[in-house]
Amino acid sequence: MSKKINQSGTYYWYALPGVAAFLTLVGGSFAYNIYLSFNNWQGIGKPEWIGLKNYQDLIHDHTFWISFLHAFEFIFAMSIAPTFLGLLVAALIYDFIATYFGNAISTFLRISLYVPQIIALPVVGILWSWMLSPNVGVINTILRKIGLSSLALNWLGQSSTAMLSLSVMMIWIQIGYTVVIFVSGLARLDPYLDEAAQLDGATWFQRFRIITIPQLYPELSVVLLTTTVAALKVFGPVYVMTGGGPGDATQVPAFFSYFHFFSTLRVGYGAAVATVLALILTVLAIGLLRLQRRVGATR
Amino acid sequence: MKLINKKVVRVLAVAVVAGLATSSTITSAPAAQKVFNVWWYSADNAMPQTWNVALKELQKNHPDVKVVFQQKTFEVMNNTGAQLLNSNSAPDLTEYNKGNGTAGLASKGGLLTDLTPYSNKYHWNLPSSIALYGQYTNGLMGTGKLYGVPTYGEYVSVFYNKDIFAKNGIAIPTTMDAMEAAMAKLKAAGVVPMEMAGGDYQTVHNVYALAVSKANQTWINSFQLFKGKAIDATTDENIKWAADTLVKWNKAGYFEPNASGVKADDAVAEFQAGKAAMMIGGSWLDSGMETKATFAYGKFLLPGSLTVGSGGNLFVIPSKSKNKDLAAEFINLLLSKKYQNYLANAGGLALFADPEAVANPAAQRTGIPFGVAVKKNALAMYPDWPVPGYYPILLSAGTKLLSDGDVANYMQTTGAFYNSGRPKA
Repeated sequence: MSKKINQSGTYYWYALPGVAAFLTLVGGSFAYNIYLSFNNWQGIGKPEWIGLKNYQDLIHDHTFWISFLHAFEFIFAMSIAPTFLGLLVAALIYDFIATYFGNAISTFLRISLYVPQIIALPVVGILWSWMLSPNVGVINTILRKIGLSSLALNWLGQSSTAMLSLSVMMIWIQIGYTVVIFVSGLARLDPYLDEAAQLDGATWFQRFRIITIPQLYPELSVVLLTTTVAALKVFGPVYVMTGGGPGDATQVPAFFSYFHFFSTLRVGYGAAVATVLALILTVLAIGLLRLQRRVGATR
Repeated sequence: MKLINKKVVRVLAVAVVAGLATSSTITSAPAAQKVFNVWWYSADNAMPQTWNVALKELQKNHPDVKVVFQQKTFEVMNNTGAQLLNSNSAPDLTEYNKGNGTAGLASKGGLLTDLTPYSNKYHWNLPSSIALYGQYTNGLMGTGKLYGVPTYGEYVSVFYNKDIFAKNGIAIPTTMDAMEAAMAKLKAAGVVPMEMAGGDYQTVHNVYALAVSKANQTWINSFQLFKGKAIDATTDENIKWAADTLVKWNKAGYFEPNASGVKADDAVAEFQAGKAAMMIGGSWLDSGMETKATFAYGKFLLPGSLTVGSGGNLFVIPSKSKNKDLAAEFINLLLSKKYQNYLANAGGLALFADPEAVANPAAQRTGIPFGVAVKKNALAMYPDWPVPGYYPILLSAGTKLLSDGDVANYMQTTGAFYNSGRPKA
């Protein structure tokens, strides 16, 4: 019976709302964006067709390349570091805290770590801007109080530390996401393997490395994929905290695109940045998915 | 039976899609009452205070109209104003930023109503030095049809702490040399001479304030209105001198430490707490200063030829406004003696107030330097007006200038942007 229904195509109708929404909201916008990237347009009036000029300008735009460099730095702050730390923290919570301190404490810790994910980004931005404020901020005030004045830097006000400051904030935000996924992943694992290894005299770290991590590959690949994509299209923290400055020290592609779209009103140029970013993201996502499938197949 | 089921499924699916597609039209049922949509910015100074009172009078005169107010911000209208005015949710009347990048562009795109007929009808008779902020020809400010009306003025001057000045025996400086001598003396006495939010708009205003202190109106006409000889902003002497001076002051320790990382709110709060002798700031800070400063303060113009300032933000009537006459009636209310005097007494910089009607000392404190600047025709407008998108460039480059002192880089970054953005001759 199911075969008969499939042949008649009834099930395809169910996809229609989703497909229609995708085509209008994502596909249509993307096509329009590509069209705009070949035009010179100030957002109102009639777009003027200029072919590949925007892309030619883009290749010679120093800030554009710098912004991509920063996006890759954000992969460390938003993907690699939170994944690594999240894995460690999740294992600690699951293996030690829950065992020795009970479920209430471990739940409390998980929720606490997840709070930064719930707080609206503008609030987080204001909070951190205030904490990082060089003269009145709480971080520098504490550093000065405990005699570490030399470490009380002008965090967001100089190129050398602005990126680092944003990165620390992003790790703080992202770690809640990775911990929650890994803790739920740990709960899924077969405890007998672990117990058997324990009986054979394996240390905690050996069990973690050889038994736990390989079993968490599905979670690891999902986390790495989603956070890497999020890092490459990061916008909010830069918008709220630094506006890409000082100079272009924290410029990222999504903000750079927004900047031209809405501030300089070089809409076509902003669209070209967005198009290139979308292409790179797509290629990268497909690459990561392929890699994931290959790793999955060899196991 | 199965056949029917399949049909039912298909019909349902189509209905869901159709429902998705048409839901937007169902919600836009015609309103029973006439709605007047008004937007303006911050709620914490004399202007919105006055406008709120005027809005109540308008409401009283038109009981059939439902007034709906929405607060916007300068930044939102600066970045997305044109898109908002172009959308179907455009208001009937809004405060809007003056300049080629905002009101100019919107007028060029046909998004603003020409107010000339209303100006004639109500006999506004705006002086040309004020009307020019609302006049645009082909998107360029200065002459042409009247697309917006400023109802107040604003300027950037030096706030100073009278107690600190008196304690250190410092008189109000009238030359740049005296200014620097005063800062050196304060620094030597262990006082922070100048608050400076280098990570915020103050850095943009400070550089321009220094530049125009050296400039004349011919330079302003060229830099702002593109009249006469074009300025090469990568090498311009006034801008370079300003950037050099900012770096010099910063290195000499005249600004608070770590100035490049300080936000405007923090700088203002520090000054209000008496932690610095001076702060270069706009008249929009007057009301806050009046209520929050913990000491006697005064204001003086930065020594030199010209002063950063202009007519205030514009009131514009979007082309998509559904109540243009009502909007014009409201603008007329704001320009009336009644509300101009109200504004002046509330501490705002009214354009047409009767001097004898202003009794409030705070209003005099800010009104007198403004009057001096207006009288000597010394208002130099604002740095980010000439080309769209200039402000974020000036800000990020200014912050960097304070952090690394690289004047050449500042001139190149901001100058190249200005040069490429200016209208082609």
